[in-house]
Amino acid sequence: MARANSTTTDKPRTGRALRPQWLARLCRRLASTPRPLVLFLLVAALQSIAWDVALPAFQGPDESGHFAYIQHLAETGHIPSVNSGTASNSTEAQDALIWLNLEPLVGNLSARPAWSSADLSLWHRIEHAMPAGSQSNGNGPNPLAKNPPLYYAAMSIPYRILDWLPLLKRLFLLRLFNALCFLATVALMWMIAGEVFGLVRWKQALATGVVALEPQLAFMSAVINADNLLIAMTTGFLYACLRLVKRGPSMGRVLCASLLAAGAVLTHGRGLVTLPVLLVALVVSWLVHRPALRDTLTRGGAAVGTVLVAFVAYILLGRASGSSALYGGQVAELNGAGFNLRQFLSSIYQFYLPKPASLQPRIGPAYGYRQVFIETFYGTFGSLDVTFKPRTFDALQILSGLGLLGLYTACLMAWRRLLTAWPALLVMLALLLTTMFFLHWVSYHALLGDGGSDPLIVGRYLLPMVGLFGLAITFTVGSLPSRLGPLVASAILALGVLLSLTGLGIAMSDFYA
Amino acid sequence: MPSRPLRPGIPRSALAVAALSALLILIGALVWLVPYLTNARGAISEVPDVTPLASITEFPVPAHQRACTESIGIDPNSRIAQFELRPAAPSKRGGPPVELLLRAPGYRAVVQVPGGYLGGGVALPVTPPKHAVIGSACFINRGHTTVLLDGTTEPRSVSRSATQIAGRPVVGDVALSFSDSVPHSLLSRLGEIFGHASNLTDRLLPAWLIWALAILVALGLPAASVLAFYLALRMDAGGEAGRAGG
Repeated sequence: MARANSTTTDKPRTGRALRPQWLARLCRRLASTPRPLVLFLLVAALQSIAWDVALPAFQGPDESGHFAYIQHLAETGHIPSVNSGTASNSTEAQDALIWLNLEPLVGNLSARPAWSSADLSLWHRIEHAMPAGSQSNGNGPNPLAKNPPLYYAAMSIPYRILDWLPLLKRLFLLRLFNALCFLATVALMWMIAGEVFGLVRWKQALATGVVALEPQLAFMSAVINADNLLIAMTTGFLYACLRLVKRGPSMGRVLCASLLAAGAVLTHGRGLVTLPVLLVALVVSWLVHRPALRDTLTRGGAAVGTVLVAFVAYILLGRASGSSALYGGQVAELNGAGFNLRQFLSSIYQFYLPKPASLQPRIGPAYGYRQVFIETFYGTFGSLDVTFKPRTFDALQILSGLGLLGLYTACLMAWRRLLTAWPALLVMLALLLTTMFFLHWVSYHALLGDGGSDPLIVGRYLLPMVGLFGLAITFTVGSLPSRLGPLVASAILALGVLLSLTGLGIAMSDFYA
Repeated sequence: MPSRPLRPGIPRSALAVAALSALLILIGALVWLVPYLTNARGAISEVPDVTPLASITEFPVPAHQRACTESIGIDPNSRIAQFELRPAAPSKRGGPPVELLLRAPGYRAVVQVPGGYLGGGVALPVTPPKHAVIGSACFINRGHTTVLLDGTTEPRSVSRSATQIAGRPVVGDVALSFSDSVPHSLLSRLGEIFGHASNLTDRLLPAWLIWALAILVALGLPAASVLAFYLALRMDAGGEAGRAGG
């Protein structure tokens, strides 16, 4: 020790010693990050980059529309119009879609992008000949302009930084910024598992690994799509709510949960599901911790105020850009005519269970839990065209069924323990039920509105609840006999690795081979 | 090195659990991924004009006239040209002979569908160019009756190719694709596949970097996952969780 001390005092101050304190603190924090989490973050980052390569430009779900929103906002400072305008995409993006065969490629497995060196040279000639303003003229109509602006505003910052790059390079690098949302989601899952299961590292690792190796989530992380921020926001919101009910409604925790709810609301219409959950979390936290009346009023006011400010900001911004209705009028449409409670409940029933003879057939196509909870949740990539084989989905359906049975059994066996953890459980149930009700509600109204053609519900809409997915698997596996749990966990992670690699392989083969 | 005391509930050897995980991944890869990579399959070389998603449009080409599409990509593996055609009116003599003429600077190839066919898909062997080119394809009706070529007018499926029939521009494209003459495994085409992917990043990632990334993902994803779980078990076994913060 003495030798070490004399060394540090005798030597001149090195670069390391001159390092600012905040940087030193950050380095210490990073160095103390648990190694399993670091490794799962590495897994997530690798997958994001790999998906960015495997997925040609604009082949993610509605990716050209999301990109058009970002590009127009970044180039002009204005949100594109939902209904009017001269072009959905900028000339630059539209030319890329046409000249690189990217538009015919969307959703068509027999198509291929223009991938040769000659195609690329031709594209360079087109790109260099574009007139000024070719990047900023995608003013609409863009149906995605109904989305609130938070994600697009955030992505317009890297867009501006990368503005000088040619389109394909710019898009590739822009997609990598989605990876930050994925990494945040993975890290938050680690923290949520720590909050729920305590510092049992293998359980934290299992929950985090399940999220990091969820193929659909990894795929989406490489797509320009507001879902990425919504997933990270909602996962963070779940963490904040769990802390709120477990540790009490301090001003910091209330503000954190309400800010994340406001963020989710400003990211996507589906973020509205956080508001009822926030209410549940606040009430439960109040019931458990009974703060003084003054504290209750100030903190409740802070929560309500935060969400209200978000709404007001959204309305003002919408008016400034020529839109007067929240979420492009979609929320108001959900109360539209044609609603029939019996038909709505019947459509939910038939979504999960076979139709009894007494019920009218469900409106819309043959579409149920298998398509949403299995096929498009685990692995339907591209624009719903690149998928695992049916027998893989069959296996995943059986495994998911077994998992649900295991969860049910684990809940029965541990009901006393679960009762003592009712505040956290109530928050989780609120998120699950609110999200599912919202998705079914929107799907039912979409089917009523479009003559039953598009049920408007896919597996990636479940990803904001991916935290619950990780917790459910970990709780079930953690309830197994103590020697068996880690073995099953390792098998689940192995399956995740195989699914992730297969998904990447299928995409590379379907797009580039 | 003395073995650490294990907490209740932790398997005697974290290494055994990690080994099981690694073994499962290895078996899965051998059973699942390796056949996928090594089985031979048709190798598409270019799809200048795609077959439509929903409805097929038939483009009539009168006798002695031609349908030409510009700006089509043809590469050195384009050894088979595929398209669909049928006679406009059923007859005992079948459809008229149709010639496919491929042209690009420094490249020309001609191949003919003999007359007498009933209709459907054709796959014609063509001489590919020495390097990837952008050129044109003309379907020349050498017979005395009208032939119908399948294609698309779907806005979402229409490509960059400008199409003319009998010298007049038409909306839509005649569906045309090229493939290699023999099936190949994905494994044997990895270099070509990564080259395509590189071009679609505007060579921001050169093909060698995609090779490196692919190896890193194929080996790093399993290794990091197994190692993460192993370390977590070791941390539990060593009681680290009791000391360290979350």
